[in-house]
This record gives sequence, C-alpha cells and structure tokens, in this order.
Amino acid sequence: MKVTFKYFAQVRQATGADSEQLVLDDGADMAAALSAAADRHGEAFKKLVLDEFGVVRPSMLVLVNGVPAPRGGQRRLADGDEVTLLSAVSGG
Amino acid sequence: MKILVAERETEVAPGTTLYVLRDRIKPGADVVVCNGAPAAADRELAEGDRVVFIRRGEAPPREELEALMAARHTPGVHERVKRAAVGVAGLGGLGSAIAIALARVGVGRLVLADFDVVEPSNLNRQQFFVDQLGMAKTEALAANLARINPYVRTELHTVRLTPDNVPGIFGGVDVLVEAFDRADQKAMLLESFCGAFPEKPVVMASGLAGHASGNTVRVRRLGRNVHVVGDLESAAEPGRGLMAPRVGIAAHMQANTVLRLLLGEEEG
Repeated sequence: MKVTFKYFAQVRQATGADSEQLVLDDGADMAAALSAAADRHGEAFKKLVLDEFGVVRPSMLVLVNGVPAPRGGQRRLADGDEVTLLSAVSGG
Repeated sequence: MKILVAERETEVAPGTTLYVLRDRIKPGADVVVCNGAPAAADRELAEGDRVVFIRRGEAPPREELEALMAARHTPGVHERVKRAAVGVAGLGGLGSAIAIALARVGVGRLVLADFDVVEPSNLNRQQFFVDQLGMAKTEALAANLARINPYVRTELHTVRLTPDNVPGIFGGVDVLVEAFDRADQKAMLLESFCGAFPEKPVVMASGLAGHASGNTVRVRRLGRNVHVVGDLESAAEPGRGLMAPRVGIAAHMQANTVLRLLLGEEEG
C-alpha cells in the first residue's frame, strides 16, 4: 500500500523533502511506517523522530489524514493515508 | 438631534450642553470626553457629537461596555464572540497575552489552566506585574482580565494538565489554545484533546524564541482542526531566549486565529 508522508521544519530538513510516498506492507502500523521512513532517511531522521527504543519522541506531532494520532505506534494505516510529522519546539 | 453617548445613539434637544447631559446621564462623572478628546469646558452639543462620561475608578455597566465593543467590532461579530468559550492551556508569555487579547475582543468565557506561579523571570514577556510575584498565574491573570473586562467569565484550573484531566477541563470550549513552554507538553495536549474532541479546533504555537524577523512567524494549518503559529524552528534554548516582542507576535497571531475560527473563517 502507498502512504504519503508530509514533513515540516526539522523533519523536512532531515529528509530533504516536503513530502514523499512510501510503499508499505498492507496493514502496516505507524511504528512500521516510521521505521521504514527511518531506514530510508538514516540517522538524522531516526534521532529526531524516534528514541533509542524506536518509540516516537514525546515532542513529535503526528497526524493521520489531518487528525492528530496517538504516538503509540499501534495505529493501523491504510492505502492512501497521509501522515504528517512535525517536531514541536519549546517556548511559550 | 442625534449624538452618540458611549457609542449608543441618543436623542438630545437642541441647545443641550455637555455638562447638562452629563448630569442627566452620569451624575458625578469627573471626566467628559467629546469627539475623542477630554472636554476642558462646557459647550453646546452638535449633531453627531460623540460623548463619553467617565467616573474614575468605576467600571462601566455591562451594557455600556458591550455597546462600545459592538461599535468597534461590529454588532454581528460581537454577538458571536460573546457566546464563545475558549480554553487556554498554559498562562505564560503566550497564554497570558492570548487571554488578554480574547478578553479585550469580548470572548464570553475563558477556561484558563496553569499550575505555575508568577516568578521574577516571567516579567520580561508575560502579562503580570511585580506585585503579583508568587501568585498562582491563574489567579493573577483572572485579576488582570477583570480590570480589562469585568464581564468576561473565567474558569480557573490551577493544576498540571495531563492526558487524564485535559478532556474534563476543556470539554466545554469551542476552541483550545495550546500555550505551553515544553515541546512534549504541546504534543501531549494535542493528542489528548483531539483524541477526545477531534472536531474541535486547536491553535498551537511552535518556534517563537529569540528576535529573528517577526515576518517568519506565520499560521499554518497542519491538519483539519490543527493550526500552528510560529516559524516551527526557533526553540527556546541558551542563547535564544523568549522575548516579549516575538512571543507577543505569536500570541496575537494565535488569538487572531481563534477569532477567525469563532467567526467561521478559514485560516492558514
């Protein structure tokens, strides 16, 4: 199945792309999708998005089809889904 | 002839003077403003004059303040905004300025949450005063809002927000504003609020530290109901502190985004 990833700010810098389409196994969950993106984009992406256990970092904003999604990684994705990634930065 | 008294059209007899009208409408008013300037002496009123009578230290009645706001914001806008409830999570540099902007624009109910107290280091950008040091930010801000618009209803929560209490505290708002300092708390709030209320809009902020150009702070629509204000990159860190001008720009862009959402306008 094909899933579109949209990247903002530091994630965009780490991937060098505003968006891209990744081909994933049917029924892949968010953890598998991010793992595939990490394999494609290497350490910079991996360190930004995932912690040492491969869990999504607590500052990451993750949306699926425009709706915030739990960062737990269990969320199943479907063909045509759009995943948005932004790493929030401190300050308020 | 017709004149405006506190923005409300008022019929007065020809020959009526400022002071006669003052004594009729607000006896004891110690300041008389006519056509935008303090009046130094009595004079006959003219068609179309705009007059305001002020008793120093006294809050104008609700209907007078509302008439003034309706005149500034247009009656249609004022009625919609007055009916709205907005949540503000975090009352620091962003949240305190956002709450003040929303109170000034006449939002009817503000749900304000922060666990923290006012510290000296907050005064470089947050809307508090030296005589409020040590007060809970919720209480201090509510006091400041009451001095601006005593008819805005505030609901205060002096608690640390968690995934467990976010839905209960903010369930009744029309729009939620994320105004936290820590990045992980921003994400926590988005996830917990949208998990419970996916149809309600959230206005976040990310990337507002330092003194880079204010033009780099903008509103982006990240998702269907998620707007983010900031440059997305300027984190608060050693060498790049949080400063009043840029924090204020972001805060007011958040408040403006809230206003547009309340009025049913698209943003970002």
